[in-house]
Amino acid sequence: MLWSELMAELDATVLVPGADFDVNAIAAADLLSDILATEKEDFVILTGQTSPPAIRTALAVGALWVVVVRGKTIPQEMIDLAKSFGIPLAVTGKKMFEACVSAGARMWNSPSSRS
Amino acid sequence: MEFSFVQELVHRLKTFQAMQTDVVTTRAEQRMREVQALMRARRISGVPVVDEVGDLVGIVTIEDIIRALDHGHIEEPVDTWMTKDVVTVRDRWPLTESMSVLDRTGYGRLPVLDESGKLVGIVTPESILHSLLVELNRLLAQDEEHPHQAVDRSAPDGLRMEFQVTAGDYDSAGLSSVRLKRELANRGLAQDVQRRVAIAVYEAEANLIIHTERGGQILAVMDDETIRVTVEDDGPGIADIDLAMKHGWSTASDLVRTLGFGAGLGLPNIRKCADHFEIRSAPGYGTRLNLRFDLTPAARGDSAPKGPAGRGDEAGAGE
Repeated sequence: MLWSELMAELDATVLVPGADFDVNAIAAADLLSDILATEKEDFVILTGQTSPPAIRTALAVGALWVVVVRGKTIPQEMIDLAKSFGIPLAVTGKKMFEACVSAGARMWNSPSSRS
Repeated sequence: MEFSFVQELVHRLKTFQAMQTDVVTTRAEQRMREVQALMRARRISGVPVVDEVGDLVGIVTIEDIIRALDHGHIEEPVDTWMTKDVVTVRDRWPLTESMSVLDRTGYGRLPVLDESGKLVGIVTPESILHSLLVELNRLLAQDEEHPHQAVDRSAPDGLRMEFQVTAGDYDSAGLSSVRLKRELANRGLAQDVQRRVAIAVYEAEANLIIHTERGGQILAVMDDETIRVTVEDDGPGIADIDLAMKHGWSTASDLVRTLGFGAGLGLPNIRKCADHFEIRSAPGYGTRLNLRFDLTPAARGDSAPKGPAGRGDEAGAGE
């Protein structure tokens, strides 16, 4: 599943655009420590966190994208940080569980999926 | 010149690191005879006297015992014969400070008090010598692993970065990690090493922010063969390290968890990322982490970007 396909699936608003690559995996968690403990690579972070540490977490673990759930208002500071580090950032109105279900359904049925 | 190394060592150590903590004490209402017996049994030459809350009120030395014996007062209470004007040192003083007090007074032992004035230990020339030997041993073991380390701490390609982390500053979490990772990326290190160092430092940073009273320092030093990361704080320390190393165990508050931290994965994750992991902690004194990441030829040389191009790591962005 491509990043753009995921965005469509989640009906997400892209705040910081980025190149359209294949999404290998998704790490869904509100606890940044959970994300820091993941062993996935080239993945999307799906989270309820709306603070700069979430972007730094993506940088530390090498996640390629960040999507915030529940249509939360993203502070400008987080958007600026994502921009300056080249981390695509989007927000979806879906709740965490709903976002996981629709992303998962699409991912596992997608012909381009490698997961 | 040989002295300078030991001097540096002494300078680095704090008094609490060189004190003996299982201190034999007595009370003011005990009789001198009992203290004399205690000193003989434990082969010690001085016994601090504490009150019911552990505050130091005096000290009984061999000289006090002899004085009491001379005057035939060995059956009298400690209160009458103890030395009341006790010279003490503080646990957080640099060891050099306490050593100079020992030297200046000529006493064989000095009670050590904490910030609140409670007796927490005793320093003697023997306890200091012991702590120096332990520290020397540790450094020697390190140098045997990496002999060049002792002579050359600033290799041409080396890197040394120091970060101060403020307690409670949640929004700054990951700042040191990201800065360090960018430097490692600039030096062409393999993604895997960059990632492991970044994650470990991020977790360590989060620990300093969440759990310490005054924050702490992170020092990262890279040479040709290793990246060494030292994380140090001065309190509160970890009461049960084995428990803290357990997956999912955490003392973090709900507020901290709401902010995305405190999952109880920090220390285990740091250990997983590092090639060598050492933790030392004592309640009341703080925690020190020594981490080592080995730079194999692949880790040093493989600078080919992995995954899709256009990542921000090398962008030199403005944090």
